[in-house]
Amino acid sequence: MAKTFDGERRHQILELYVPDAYTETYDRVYMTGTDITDLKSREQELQRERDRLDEFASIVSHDLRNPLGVAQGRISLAREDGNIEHLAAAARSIDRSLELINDLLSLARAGKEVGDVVPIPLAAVVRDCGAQVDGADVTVCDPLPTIRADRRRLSELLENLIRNAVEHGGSDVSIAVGGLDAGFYIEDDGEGIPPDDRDAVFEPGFSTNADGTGFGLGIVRQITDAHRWDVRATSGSDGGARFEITGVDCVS
Amino acid sequence: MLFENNPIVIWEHDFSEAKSYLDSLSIESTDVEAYLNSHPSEVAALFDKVKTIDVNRNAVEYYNAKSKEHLLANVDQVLDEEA
Repeated sequence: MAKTFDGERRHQILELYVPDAYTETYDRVYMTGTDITDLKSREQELQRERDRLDEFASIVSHDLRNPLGVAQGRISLAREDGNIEHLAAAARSIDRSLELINDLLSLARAGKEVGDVVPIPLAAVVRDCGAQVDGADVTVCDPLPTIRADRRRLSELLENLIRNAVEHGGSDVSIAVGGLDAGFYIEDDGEGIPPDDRDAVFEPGFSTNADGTGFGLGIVRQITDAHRWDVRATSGSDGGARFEITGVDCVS
Repeated sequence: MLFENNPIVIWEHDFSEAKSYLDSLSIESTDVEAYLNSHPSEVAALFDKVKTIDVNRNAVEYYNAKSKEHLLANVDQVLDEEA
């Protein structure tokens, strides 16, 4: 590792060469430096890709095998005793598998860069996303800003946060979305997130709800990362969960 | 000209004092690497005995030095013990 006078750290391969005339005295030794900083950077990016693939494979093998195993078992039972109630249970497990596959695909896509970033009136997208989630009671606290974002990813982020509130707070939960300085928040009046879990909730696979896949907030984190926004979990004004997204480019 | 205009970074060193010092330690040549690995302070001592005589133009540009003299006077700022 070498350092330039303006503080930049560079990776180099240093090689020494001693001309034949100096192999006794060593008073002339030449050293060449070949810069491999870009190569190292690509190597580290490949390592990160490999780590993400490992994480993905581990999630698939751990979380997807379980409901498929249940479905397989229930179908075997239905074959043995002819009770079609086993098939209904198998169908629920297969639905659960499909839900996991959809979330995993979304998680894999979310890791990539965002697409077209355009000005989007946040209030309209929040209303649309609220309508997409069964049982969601979403209040838009005007005025919400117009922000620069990838429209599809922003919708995905909002739907996941709204679904998260409904899954944990039930159909009685009230959800509010409001503006922040360079950002916005979404909060509910449910039970909230214990302080010790507020970082862990964004880890893929983390869930305290047996019906949840545990990937929703992981998808949220990846979408905010892709936009270079920050997201944090905190406590809402009524003690429920509150998610603050900041570092957002607001155009109005 | 070949030294000065070479597109890779080239340093010209005088290792004679470092070699004399190493010889004075009376280590078998096959054991030098193992000895230095187990005596890191000797690596620093050897490094101090290496004189840098010259660098080529590409080295001055690569390390963003003000001049060849600036780089020659501040070698320890760009090449540390790790190098």
